[in-house]
Amino acid sequence: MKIGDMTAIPEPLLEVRDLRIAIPGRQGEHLAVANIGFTVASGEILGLVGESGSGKSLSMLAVMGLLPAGMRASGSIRFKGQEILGLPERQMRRLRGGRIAMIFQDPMTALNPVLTLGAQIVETIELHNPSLSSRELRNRAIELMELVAIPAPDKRFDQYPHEFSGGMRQRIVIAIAVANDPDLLIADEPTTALDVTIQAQIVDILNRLRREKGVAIALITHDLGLVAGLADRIAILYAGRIAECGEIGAVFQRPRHPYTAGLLAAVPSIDADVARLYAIRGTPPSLADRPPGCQFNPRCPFALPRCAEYNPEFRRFGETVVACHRAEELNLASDTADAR
Amino acid sequence: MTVAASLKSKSIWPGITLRWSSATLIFALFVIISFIVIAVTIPLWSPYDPVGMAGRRLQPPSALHWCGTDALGRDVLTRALWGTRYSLPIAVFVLGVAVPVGVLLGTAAGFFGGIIDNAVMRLADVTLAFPPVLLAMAIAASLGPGLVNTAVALIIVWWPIYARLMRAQVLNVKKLDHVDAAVIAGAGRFRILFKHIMPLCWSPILVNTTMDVGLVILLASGLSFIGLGAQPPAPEWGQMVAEGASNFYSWWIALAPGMAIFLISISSNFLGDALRDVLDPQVKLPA
Amino acid sequence: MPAEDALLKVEGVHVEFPILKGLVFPRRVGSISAVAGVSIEVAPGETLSLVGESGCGKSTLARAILRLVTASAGQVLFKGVDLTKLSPAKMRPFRRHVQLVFQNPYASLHPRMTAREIIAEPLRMLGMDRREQVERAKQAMQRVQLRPEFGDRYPFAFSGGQRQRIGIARALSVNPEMVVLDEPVSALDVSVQADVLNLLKDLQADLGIAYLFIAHNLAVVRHFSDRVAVMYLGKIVETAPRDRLFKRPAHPYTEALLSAAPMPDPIRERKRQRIVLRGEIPSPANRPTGCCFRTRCPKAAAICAQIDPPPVTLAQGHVVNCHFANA
Ligand SMILES: Nc1ncnc2c1ncn2[C@@H]1O[C@H](COP(=O)(O)OP(=O)(O)OP(=O)(O)O)[C@@H](O)[C@H]1O
Ligand SMILES: Nc1ncnc2c1ncn2[C@@H]1O[C@H](COP(=O)(O)OP(=O)(O)OP(=O)(O)O)[C@@H](O)[C@H]1O
Ligand code: SF4
Ligand code: SF4
Ligand SMILES: [Mg+2]
Ligand SMILES: [Mg+2]
Repeated sequence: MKIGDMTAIPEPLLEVRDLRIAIPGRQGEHLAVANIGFTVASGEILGLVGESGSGKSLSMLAVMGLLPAGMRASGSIRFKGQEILGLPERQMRRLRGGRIAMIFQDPMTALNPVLTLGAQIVETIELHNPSLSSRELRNRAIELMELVAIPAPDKRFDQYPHEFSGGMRQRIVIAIAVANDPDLLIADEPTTALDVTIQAQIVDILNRLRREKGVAIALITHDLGLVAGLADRIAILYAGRIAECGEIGAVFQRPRHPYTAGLLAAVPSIDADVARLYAIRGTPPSLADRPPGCQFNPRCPFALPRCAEYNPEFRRFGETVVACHRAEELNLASDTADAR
Repeated sequence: MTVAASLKSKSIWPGITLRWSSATLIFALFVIISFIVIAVTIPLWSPYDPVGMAGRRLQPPSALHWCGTDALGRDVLTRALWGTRYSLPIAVFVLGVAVPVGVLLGTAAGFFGGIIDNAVMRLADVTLAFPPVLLAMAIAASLGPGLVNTAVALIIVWWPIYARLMRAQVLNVKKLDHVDAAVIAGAGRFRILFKHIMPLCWSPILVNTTMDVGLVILLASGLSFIGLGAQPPAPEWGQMVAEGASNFYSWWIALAPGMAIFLISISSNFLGDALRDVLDPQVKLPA
Repeated sequence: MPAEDALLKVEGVHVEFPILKGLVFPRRVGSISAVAGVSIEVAPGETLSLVGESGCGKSTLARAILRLVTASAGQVLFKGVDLTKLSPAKMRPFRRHVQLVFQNPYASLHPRMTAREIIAEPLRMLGMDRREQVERAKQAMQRVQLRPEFGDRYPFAFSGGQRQRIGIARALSVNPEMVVLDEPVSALDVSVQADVLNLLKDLQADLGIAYLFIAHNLAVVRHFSDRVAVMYLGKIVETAPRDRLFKRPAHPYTEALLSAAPMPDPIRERKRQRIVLRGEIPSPANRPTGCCFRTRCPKAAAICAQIDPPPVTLAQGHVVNCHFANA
């Protein structure tokens, strides 16, 4: 069964199925993304979580049609029912910045240092609304700056990026991303570079965007706390595959995949004491040298011989979809505590 | 980042990028090695006497004289081949002095800072304030014509470039955490400089030096061309081009030396480029 | 904590960076007070955490303690010896006692030295002979669970977590009494982070090392420390034993930090009342008058702009700098 089939909500806004991305290398291609699928509905926030290098950014770049040259993507990416994987660049460009927008991982380099922030917001609006007058453009830009809680936006309009703090710059980046009322916003680690108090402001803004404008958000992060606060559903990636995907409460309460359970147990809590943190032993596989069978098997405390032979199928348990041979028999919340 | 960078240089269009860069590299190596071989062995197989009459005057290229003869009836090809014995040594000599001097002063400036830095950098600034060609001309003119004086002039023009480059490099590397780690380990100043800073400073110096071989030869020939460098009858390329220019209708006189200058210049450039790609990308410094 | 017990005692340390203008003849046009009068103490074998936002001066304080930058005022007493007054040569014997683990596991290793050479560098500086260096480096590698066969590899062949282990092994090779950990896990993935934190805790239990642990993740701080000092704009605004700080934060900034720290639990995370601070972080080049937090403080009153709040002791070891601290 395909993972997309099972998490499908009627008419999802974005539906990714069987996505594979191959990277050319010296000894032939290898798969950086090897079977990723998920859906995002309007007004929904999907959290994409996984270790560095698990393919989070690449799969989202594929949705944007912005994969680095040389990489090949296969599978299916449907946006509002239309297949957009392999769409000609000209049509893709119309979607990008219009219907689909993205906030990039590094907020500091996303802005042009020699243009005023106002001009950069205006530029994006104008690109998709060439008919607006400069007065209208300015007003719209100021509205957007208000939306992302920039104080005194009419004064700030003519300032340059270097006059802004990191948090303010990130908010401008968000303002630019939502300038044309996108239906889908892809946020690649929007708060990683920011402090917790500033992070709280960004979380507020993303929540408002979803509530007030019905924007669907795909939130890439490795901060489980951030997903817990924002996301409706969560997809956990391991080595370019979905390990587990489901409703947030269900996944956090009863993780079905040993990797998910490991991640949850590895994070210290701000209000509970543990003597030792649970650490997942070993390191993620190198893409060029993937283990046979379940990608997690060399690190999995519950691996059985068959785990190294067959790649587990996706199976559904209530609200969650899991790729693990032992999903039904393991009770991970307690088993992981024992393994500790 | 490193992954993205390596992808860009090698595998986006695997065929094209790779073939192009290795072709230029092979070409450059071929040219430079042949020039060196020629310079070393030419006395053994020289077709004609480079400074004596070899045939009739101002002959266009023929089977006997592949590149023709000049106004004194000397064989142009022979002279161009002998020209390597002027140009290559001058490049080696100029860079052999200017690079170490520049590197030494630049290192001192970057590492010790303060007065040393100020003194060295002001001196370099003053030198670099003049256009290099003009300065070289002025110095060569005031020292009097001759190859050695040309070389001295070029050294004076060239060292500040390396002083600056090295200083910037030292300052960059000095900021890196592993240097602080060495301080904490208890390493003394000189160990820090020689073990933890200098080994990471060489790549741009090496690349630049390779590229400058062509430039030095070009400028040295330029000085000879205007009469400040090698003097007749020496078969020096710039000199020969000048002779060609005074026999305007005998185009072949300037052709061989001109081609030689051109070949060595672009080859050193290609080689420098290739070197830059090869030199360990792992140690690329953060901006 | 009685003062005579302190292994490290930092008193009133200031660090200023000049702001220069002009390319050819730079002039000093102002200064950044990155650290503005910090006093902390670390006892043998304990962990003091230093938390605060990016740019508040945590790393600069660490660098001042290790004499990588010069403190413009104040003292750094290590076992009663003021390190700020020592000449570089006199400082060197003290180096082995206070070590540093860096924030960035990529930049802090010499790219052209093998793991073994990197780990042995401090030993070599102690004048140990080669055989002993190799032996001790091997022990240090085993202690951080790196396979000694990896000793011949260069840093680029290691993952981030492994590199951080090399950094830790280097710091530990000389058996220091204290290690400053400058965000040792910030650059690492959660699963790797847990591994490195466990390792550091085990090492402390085995070797009795004191840690000054710099971090901005409060959950990690809670897990890791005995006492916590909260830093804001170059100053310590609150110091308390861990449990007390997390249960009864007294400073408005500490409260805001705790309320904003994300919790990996969807139910509680959503029910929680966050204090979202308004206003921007002031620049250390242009410090506000009076209390440094007043531009963002929800409790700020007129007095806060005039008088820099003095330290008030609320309980044993709980000191706060605020005119209106929660009792
Ligand atoms: N331009 C590229 N060229 C080659 N390989 C790449 C490139 N970009 C990414 N990769 C590889 O693809 C894999 C997935 O990368 P991706 O950037 O999607 O990871 P990620 O999950 O976003 O990680 P992070 O949390 O570090 O951002 C990694 O192994 C990475 O090394
Ligand atoms: N060498 C320097 N020259 C000038 N200013 C500096 C220098 N180093 C640090 N600063 C400034 O001092 C202040 C404190 O910096 P520091 O690196 O100590 O912050 P930090 O608390 O460690 O932050 P982070 O959490 O981002 O590491 C910052 O405003 C920074 O810009
Ligand atoms: S399939 Fe096997 S190895 Fe993979 S996660 Fe499940 S139990 Fe572990
Ligand atoms: S002194 Fe005033 S401004 Fe400062 S933290 Fe306390 S209440 Fe806020
Ligand atoms: Mg990414
Ligand atoms: Mg820091």
